[in-house]
Amino acid sequence: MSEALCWLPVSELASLLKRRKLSPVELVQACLQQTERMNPKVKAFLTITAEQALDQARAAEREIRGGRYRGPLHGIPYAVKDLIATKGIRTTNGSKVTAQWVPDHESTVTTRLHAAGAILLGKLNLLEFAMGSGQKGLQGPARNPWDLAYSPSGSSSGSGAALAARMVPLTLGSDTGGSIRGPAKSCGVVGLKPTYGRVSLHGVTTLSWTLDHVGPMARSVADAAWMLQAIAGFDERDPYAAQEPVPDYSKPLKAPVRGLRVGVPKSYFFNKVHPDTNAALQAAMETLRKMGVVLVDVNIPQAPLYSTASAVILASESAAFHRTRLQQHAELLDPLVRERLEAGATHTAVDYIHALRLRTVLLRHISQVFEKVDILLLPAGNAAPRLEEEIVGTDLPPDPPPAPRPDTFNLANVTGIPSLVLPCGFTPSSPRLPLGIQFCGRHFEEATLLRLGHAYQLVTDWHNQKPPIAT
Amino acid sequence: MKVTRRGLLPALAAGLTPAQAQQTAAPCVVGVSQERARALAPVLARRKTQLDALRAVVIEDGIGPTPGLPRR
Repeated sequence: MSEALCWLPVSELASLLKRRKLSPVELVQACLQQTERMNPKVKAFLTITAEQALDQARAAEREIRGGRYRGPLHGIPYAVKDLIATKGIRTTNGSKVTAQWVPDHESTVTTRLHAAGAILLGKLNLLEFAMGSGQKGLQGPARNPWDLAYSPSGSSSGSGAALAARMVPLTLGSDTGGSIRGPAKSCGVVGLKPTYGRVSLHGVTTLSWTLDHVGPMARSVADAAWMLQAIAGFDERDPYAAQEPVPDYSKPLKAPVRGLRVGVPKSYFFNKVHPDTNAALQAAMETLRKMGVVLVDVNIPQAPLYSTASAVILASESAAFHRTRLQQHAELLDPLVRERLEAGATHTAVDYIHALRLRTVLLRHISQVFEKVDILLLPAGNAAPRLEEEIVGTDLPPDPPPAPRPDTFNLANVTGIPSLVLPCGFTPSSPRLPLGIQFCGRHFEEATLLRLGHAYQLVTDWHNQKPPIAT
Repeated sequence: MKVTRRGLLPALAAGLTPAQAQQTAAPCVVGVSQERARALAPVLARRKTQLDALRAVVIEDGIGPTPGLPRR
């Protein structure tokens, strides 16, 4: 029973907990046992807060027994990317520079999850400051549970790997240029980058003020919806947090998707997609058609400029944020992080402002696209690369880089629109690695993405596949 | 020694070859040593592709017949 608990969706766990058929203590112990078994191989966790988690579980058990059930996350274990501040718990940012930092404050997202009764199991591996190389890492890189020689992708590498290895049912990641969605794709789980301002960034270490987002990762769309419900909403401690009311994200999960208009770009985003990925995407589109979804050809004007704007904004803002660390602790940084920060410092104010100005133009372009469609369908990248093939140190690829595909993630960061990645297949040959599909929506219309994603998961089984290592 | 000014001459003074200095356009990173500036030269050259793409974007400024992306 103990191990089987690690495979259940949050909805089932919540039902068992609410009806007192399952104790939060039993559930936390099951997750800790799975973590103890898996983490030496997968290296998803940097810090495991076992004692604190068991204390919280015992408190949750008392509350539920006493009739004080808080809601669907009460007693549910979760873990967070280790750049999310947790008061009194080491928060390393995956960096030697901040390896011993113990925050004296709590992030808004963990505060809200705690208030919802969720139980923090620990802090998850990541690429240094969300921008390092895949091969490094404070305690070694996280590994892909589907094949340990492969990368879980980054920068929320541990957040994706922990879910796929069934260590924990919910995680939080952050996403400045695909860092939630890339690991979700590579690990065969669900990742949601919410609308800019939908979820407070208070207590989340900055990479780029303009492009940063924090959001839920889960094994199903429905589970991600529940987590989003708990963390979304205005926060006066985040100057960019939106006042927009938070809808009930569980309602659209029951709504029909027939007639939804889904735009598929005619050019750029599907250029040079690997044949395996393309086959999975085409099959997914056929499934959507059968569900009654209307697929529409769309044109995204100036598509390559999303990554151009992103590159300059990210480099400039990260160089500004880490300026003092670069001056004082350059030797402790991953060489790639150091190099990126130093290079970012060479951008002029005019370049940076021009990139911000370009962003507002692109924002209008994408708004016009959403006058014609409800959702934009994009690839989520190819299957995970081998760890050793990821960029390391100063050995950057030549210019122009041999990109196997155009960038498909930065569009949502630059414009701030919500974006959901979910599994849509596997590579046909060994090793069997997950493939993903990406849905983007209008600002603050996460509900529409969740509606389509959940409907797709009701008729497909990709999200229920289990890596052999985790069984 | 720290390089504290931008431009071709300071780049050459910092030890970059003329080709590297030309390639990077603004190779002198404030607060970065000559050694690091040399190491960064090829990185900056690669970044320049992205910067050139950005700089090539013309956004209409509203005060004349400027061709390019409409302003906002």
